[in-house]
Amino acid sequence: MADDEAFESWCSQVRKGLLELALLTRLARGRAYGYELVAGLKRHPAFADLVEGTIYPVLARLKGDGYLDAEWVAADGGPARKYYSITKSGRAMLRRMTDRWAEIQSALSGSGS
Amino acid sequence: MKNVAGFHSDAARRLAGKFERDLARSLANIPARERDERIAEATAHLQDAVRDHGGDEVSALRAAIAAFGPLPDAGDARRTALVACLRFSSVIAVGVLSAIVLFALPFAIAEIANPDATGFWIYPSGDWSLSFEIQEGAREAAGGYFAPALFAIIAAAALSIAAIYRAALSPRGALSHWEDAKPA
Repeated sequence: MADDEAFESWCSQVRKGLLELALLTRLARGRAYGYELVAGLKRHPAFADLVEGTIYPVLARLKGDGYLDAEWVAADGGPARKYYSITKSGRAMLRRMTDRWAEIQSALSGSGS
Repeated sequence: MKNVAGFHSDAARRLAGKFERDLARSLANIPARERDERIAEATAHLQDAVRDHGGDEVSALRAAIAAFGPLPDAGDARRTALVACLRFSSVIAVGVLSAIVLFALPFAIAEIANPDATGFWIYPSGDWSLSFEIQEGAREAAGGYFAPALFAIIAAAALSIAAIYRAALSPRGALSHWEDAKPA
């Protein structure tokens, strides 16, 4: 039981740490709105337990840092949605994050030593 | 309540309205324009979630609100500032009270050792002084009450220091507990 709690706590920390990378990675493939991003992430087991509201402060921070742009788009038969798209500096940050992530994976697999 | 029109039933609109008000309260510390956008975005999220969930609108909305997760606590920033202010005031108060103790203690001890010379002296001009020596031409006004009065002042100051420490400065004090407490 304690092991399960410790594992869940670790998963939560990893998820939190990787959320920015996951969002930038998804947005590098094209613009998306908040719910669409959440639904896409939750399809993956690593993010299945994502607390949905947690992405909005992260999106706001990424936008504030200049890594994302956002625009409201009216929708037929649904609410207006705030679409996020990655900026040039967002792509540069994503490259740096991806490189670092590859280094971490390499270190964990032992191939970097 | 301006974003709830997308819900069909009155019950769902009321529930969404309450969510909006709670979210507005929790985002009270950010600029109004940003707050309005965050609320509109969250309400759009709930509408999409309800549409995907299907079935009864109110049940779906309750599920969507639960999945959205706990709202940030707006009181945190204000609480942190207030705690810092109270701690600073407490340190100042402890400093002032300690100075009073350090000032009064030598007079109280001297009054016991040399009661004739130590006291609260008043000059014919109306000026006064606390002194360890007999003041020519002045009269000692406190008499036998001088030492008890000083010890009473010292005791009150020391008790106040202990109370301030216990309530506001100790890691296990009431202020620390309040600082750590999260609203339900």
